[in-house]
Amino acid sequence: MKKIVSILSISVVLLVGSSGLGAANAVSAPKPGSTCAINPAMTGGSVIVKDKSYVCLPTARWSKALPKSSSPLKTKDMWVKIADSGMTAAFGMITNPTKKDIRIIAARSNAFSTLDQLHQMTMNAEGTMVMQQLATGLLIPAGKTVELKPGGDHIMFMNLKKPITAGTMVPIMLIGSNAEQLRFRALGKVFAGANESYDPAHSGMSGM
Amino acid sequence: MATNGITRRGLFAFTGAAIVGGAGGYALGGISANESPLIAQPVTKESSSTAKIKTPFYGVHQAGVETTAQVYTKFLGLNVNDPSRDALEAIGRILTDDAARLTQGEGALGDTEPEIAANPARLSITLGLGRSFIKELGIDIPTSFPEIPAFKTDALDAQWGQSDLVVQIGSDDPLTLSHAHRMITKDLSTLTTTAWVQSGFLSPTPATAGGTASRNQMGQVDGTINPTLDQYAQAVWIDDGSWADGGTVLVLRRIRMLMDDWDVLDRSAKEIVVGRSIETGAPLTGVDQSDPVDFDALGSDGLPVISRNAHIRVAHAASIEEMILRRPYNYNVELADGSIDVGLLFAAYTKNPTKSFIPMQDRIAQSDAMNRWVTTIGSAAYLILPGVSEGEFLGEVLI
Repeated sequence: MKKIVSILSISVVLLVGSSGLGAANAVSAPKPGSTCAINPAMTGGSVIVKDKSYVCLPTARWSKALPKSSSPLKTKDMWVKIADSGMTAAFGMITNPTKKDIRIIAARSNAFSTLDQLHQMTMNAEGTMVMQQLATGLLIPAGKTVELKPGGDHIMFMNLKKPITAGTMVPIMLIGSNAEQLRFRALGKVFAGANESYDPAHSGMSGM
Repeated sequence: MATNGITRRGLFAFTGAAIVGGAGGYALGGISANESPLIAQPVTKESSSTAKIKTPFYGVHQAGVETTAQVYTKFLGLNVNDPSRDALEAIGRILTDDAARLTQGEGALGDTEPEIAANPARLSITLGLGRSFIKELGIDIPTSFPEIPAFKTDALDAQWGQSDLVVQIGSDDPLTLSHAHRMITKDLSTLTTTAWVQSGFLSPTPATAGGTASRNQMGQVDGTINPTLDQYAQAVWIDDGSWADGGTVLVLRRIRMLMDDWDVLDRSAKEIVVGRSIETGAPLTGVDQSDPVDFDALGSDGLPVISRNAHIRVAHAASIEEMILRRPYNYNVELADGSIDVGLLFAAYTKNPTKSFIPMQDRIAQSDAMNRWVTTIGSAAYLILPGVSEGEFLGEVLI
């Protein structure tokens, strides 16, 4: 059941909050098919307007209005590295109990982050592990469990709105490619590691 | 019978008198005729330093109380940096999550050394709250949790005093214990500050063949009369109708043994002080450790065989309600000058100290002959929270 993603193919789920998409506080629904990525880092976001989800597809176009639905994915052992500001990351196990692969394309934690992303760790030309946004989301293969862990795949919180403190249950929503939502809470924990370098050259984001 | 001035007649004469040099709170009670000197002991032989035995975490009561004493323990006295119900919730959530995993042989969330957690060796992690901390949160103090008064023989050092919280950790594997200690300290580092750590140990080997008792550092066999499991409801678990139901009160006393003075006594004098044989642990009125004590027996000189001030007489509990669960550990601290400080971490668990611990400790402070060779240097009391079910966290009842 447990599948560990190899270190060289680490993906990271960028949690993209609505404001991070430039659609912050949008009261109107984005136009399906219109461009949704302000820059490459913004791919993978979503907005919810009047109970309909709009997903920024890997093609950097808004999806059509999708009905809210819940994801069959299961999470376990979810936790977040505490931080006062800037960036931090969430980890844990995501299991796909179905017979079809499921792709997570966005993540949100509106209470804490304006821009959350799926990240991957890769080796750069200098031989340093750096993280990059996963432009195509995070694949959870049918019947498999993907472990998000320090030094590996993780859910990245960008631009923290407020501190995440120890013992806080942080609400997170992952969004699948069909706009299905997976909501869970992750426990804030003290953690000294997970200080990966962020490689803006490959993602269009400014450094961490 | 006269050995170094200790005689049954001499002890008799101490009754009601000030104890010369006495400063001990030597809280070792028992019921019926079988009080133990110092260390309450493993009732079963399940202890093993290598077995991957798990102690259940979830339940009506927290583990670490009726759990047979593990070989090693640490009590962590913690103060809450910013006392509030939010802080209690955060602490409860983290500690519950850590304990639920570590006690079952899994790494904690974010555990960088999960391999060490793989052998829990009966690990238990237990949370208690101090009285003033509960008050500070504006929560009513249960009637079962009175203030523990000062006893006249106490010589308390603030270094070992009351803290907001206690986390009690026990395991048969010292590496497992160390890992759990560090994990918890790290995880709570933004919420609490450590006031003290008190480490204790037991012998993993019974003092007598086939027995369940350990020896303490004074050499005494610890035969121990503790409540049997079916007496816990009457003696240990709170049921006063408050939020604390299912919990218990822990009184933790640090009792220094004055070993250099104890060394001066002949063996027979030591036995008179305690009321038991050093070698076998049997009462001086019997042959085996388990023999009931005959408090009325008189010697050929017409004096009680068990002296008036003998420890086992003074600490005797007359009813189940007066009993405490004794779960003490040895401590041994190397001092900077090369000498050692040895003694007991006397952990007493009781349903209501007003009926049990306090009157017993009063009697001990008044007249226990042992007071000349022990000194209580630390004292703190905690309400050990009720246990939780999966999905709940310790202290949730207060949020």
